[in-house]
Amino acid sequence: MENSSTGSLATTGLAPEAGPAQLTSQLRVALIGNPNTGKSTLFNALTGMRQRVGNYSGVTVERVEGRYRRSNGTAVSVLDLPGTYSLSATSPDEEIALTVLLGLAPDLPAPDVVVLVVDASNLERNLFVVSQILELGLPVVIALNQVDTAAAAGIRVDSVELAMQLQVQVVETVATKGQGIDVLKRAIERASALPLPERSFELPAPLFRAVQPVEAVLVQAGFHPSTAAMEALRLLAIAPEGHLAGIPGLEGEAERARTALEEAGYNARAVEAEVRYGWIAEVVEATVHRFGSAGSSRTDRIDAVLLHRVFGPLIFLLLMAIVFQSIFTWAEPLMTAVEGLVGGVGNLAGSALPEGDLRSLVVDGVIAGVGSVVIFLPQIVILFLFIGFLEATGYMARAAFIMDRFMRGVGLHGRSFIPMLSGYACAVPGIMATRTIENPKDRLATIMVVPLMSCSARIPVYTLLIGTFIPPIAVAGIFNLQGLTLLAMYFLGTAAALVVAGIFKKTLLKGPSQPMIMELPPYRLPNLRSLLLTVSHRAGLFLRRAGTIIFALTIVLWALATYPKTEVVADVTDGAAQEQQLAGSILGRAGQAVEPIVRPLGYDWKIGVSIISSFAAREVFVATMGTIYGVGSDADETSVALREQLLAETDAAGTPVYTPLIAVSLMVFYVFAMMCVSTNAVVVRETGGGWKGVKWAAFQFLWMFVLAYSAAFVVYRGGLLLGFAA
Amino acid sequence: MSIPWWAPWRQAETKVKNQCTACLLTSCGRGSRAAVLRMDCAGEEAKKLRNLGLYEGSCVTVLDRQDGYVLDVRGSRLAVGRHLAGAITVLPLGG
Amino acid sequence: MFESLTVVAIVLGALGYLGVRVSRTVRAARTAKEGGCGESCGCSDT
Repeated sequence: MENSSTGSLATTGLAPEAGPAQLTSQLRVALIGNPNTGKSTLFNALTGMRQRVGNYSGVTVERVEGRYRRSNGTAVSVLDLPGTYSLSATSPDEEIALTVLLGLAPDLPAPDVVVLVVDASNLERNLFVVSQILELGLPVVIALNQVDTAAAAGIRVDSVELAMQLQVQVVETVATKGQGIDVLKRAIERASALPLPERSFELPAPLFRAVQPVEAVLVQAGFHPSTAAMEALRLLAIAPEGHLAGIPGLEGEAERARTALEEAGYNARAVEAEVRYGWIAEVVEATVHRFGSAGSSRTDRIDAVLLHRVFGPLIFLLLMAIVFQSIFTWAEPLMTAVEGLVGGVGNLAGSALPEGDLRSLVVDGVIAGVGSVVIFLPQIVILFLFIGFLEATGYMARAAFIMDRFMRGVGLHGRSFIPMLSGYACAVPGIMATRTIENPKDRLATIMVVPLMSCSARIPVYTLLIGTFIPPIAVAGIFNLQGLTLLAMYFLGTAAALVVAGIFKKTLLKGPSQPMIMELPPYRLPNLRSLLLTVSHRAGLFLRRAGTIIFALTIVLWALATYPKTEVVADVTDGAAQEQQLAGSILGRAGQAVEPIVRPLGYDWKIGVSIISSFAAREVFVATMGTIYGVGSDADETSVALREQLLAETDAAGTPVYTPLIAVSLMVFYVFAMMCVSTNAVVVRETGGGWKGVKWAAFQFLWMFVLAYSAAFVVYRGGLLLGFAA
Repeated sequence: MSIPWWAPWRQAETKVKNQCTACLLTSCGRGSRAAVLRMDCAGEEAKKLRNLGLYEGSCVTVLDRQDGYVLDVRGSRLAVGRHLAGAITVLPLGG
Repeated sequence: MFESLTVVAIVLGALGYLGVRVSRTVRAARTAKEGGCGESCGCSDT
């Protein structure tokens, strides 16, 4: 980020002049192309493991950068721009791409070379964004990718002819097999020295006359003439926004141009598409050769089954069932292993450190705290593997297509379905998966309700309470009351998520229901390397958070539960000593302070303490209960000692503190309450970061808390009224 | 196109409104081809569709229709919602 | 004595780290409001 001041309008489109000078230092390459062209695979083939993932400032568009070394030892940095169908800025992704290419991004200088990734089997649609980028006055290399799948489908693209037509270098590549990468690297080297590409078609006379004054205004404002021509054509269909806002006289001239065109019998808004696709048709005619039978393609045949009106949804449901089954069963041994590892590290640290506060901090605070979060890593990785696999094969778009009708019922897009489903495993990947939702309001509504889906961190809480207080009575012969209660909790969360999403879409996030416009990419086998790279990036993001914010929080939480120290009465058991100790600590006192608040729900201060400590993560509730009831903080939800303690607990008057009613009310509270720092953090980030993100996260926390409190209150008080006292 | 025994509903769909008058995309059956005449959807959507190659004067083929539509637009499959399809006026091309 | 100091140092360190994170977010939010760029999440960490 050494060159953060670059990006004034005056330098726009002048990058090539800076090119040769930078050859000696670092060459900056930007990779751009339509979605589903194998762009990311090509990026991985170019850069290997040396990449980093972040966000563009202020927006939640993923920014992927990598680098490779040239033969002379200097580095080439490669920026993988988001997939775009055009430079018309119809989505945040396209806007970012345009801003970066124009050199207007706040912390990124304009690239020295643009590599345009083009899908050989779908040249026509791909050439639209190509025709726009050729006019930006930047050196361009075209990577004609997936020539193998194109050949398999009976399509051959004459790359020499294409190079002649476009006046730029064209390199045939098969990114999945690493073919053509070296040639591409050589072409990148040469690109800056070659003449710059420019528009290779003539505008019809009336159009030419109409856009001339608009171009003049743009050149006046400091744009490169070639870029100005591209922008002027684009402006016929859009209002001057973003970097074009505030240029004096621009909108006036654009409006005059539109009127002049309408008078000449043109549709001003469609004219850019018309002239560009007109030129593209000629290029395709000259370069694309079809051979073999024109029968139904492989994708057609697969779609006939997967998009079948009856089998399609059935197959989808079956797939989702398999995904979930495996998240819970495959992750099980891995989670046990992580648990064992954490326990082992804890024991090791425990024996290495002398008895005292430091040991308690390291073992009970840090290792146990971070461990309780890291334990979800296996589930997150498996979920991301499935999502990544379905995405890469091309099935994900079909799933959204199938679910669109259902999700539309609550005002959401079909793409909201997968994030909500992911929420059953963990809200963090679910919220990260909302990035595929283009409409910001739909995306926010989805982020708001994903944490209502019962995630696996709630399972320990449910298991403890159900196992202790819900009798295993058979219902209707085959069902077990315990299992039914668990199912009811899942159902409650899901129903609430759908209802709340509908309410949000009708009130706060009101907006026209986003119509579906979605490409259904051809089916293909995913590239294992790309898949693993994506998964490891996401897992890394999760681990980094566990290692930083959560790490710090667990230390603070430990201190709150430990200080100030109280003199423990002698000759009591270790457990009782622990309990007294906690009661005297800041956390314990806080629990007693909030008792009036939780009292109406039927809870005492000990549950209050557990709830407070579980703000960090829900499953901490179980560990805190273990500490409070003096069975040691290594109690888990199946601990018999803890269950007996809970059943035997009575208040001063001798009535039991815990009744099945309170247990149910507590579970309902956890269904709705947003008790998870990781999720809070990811919501801040995904809703725009900074204040905006903090506001959304705080808002979400509040409404979920209010909902949780009211629901628990209704359950408890309603239950009392109905006579479920004991 | 032959109709498989297990999909009798296809019969109704393959009936293409074959007169040479403009109609909405929603009344085009599976397998029919049509030229786009007018797009009455919101500006943003129209812009997006045009960039994808579906603009006034271009040709589309209906590959599949359920609640939404799968269209062949310049060699790629495009899924569009029912409402959007209802905002596009087309001229069916024979067959 | 040494142990208590270590514990205090660690806890203060954790508090300090959280404080820095919060203030960085606040600062980024302020600059974003003034038209500059927000925090480029993640990118600067590596």
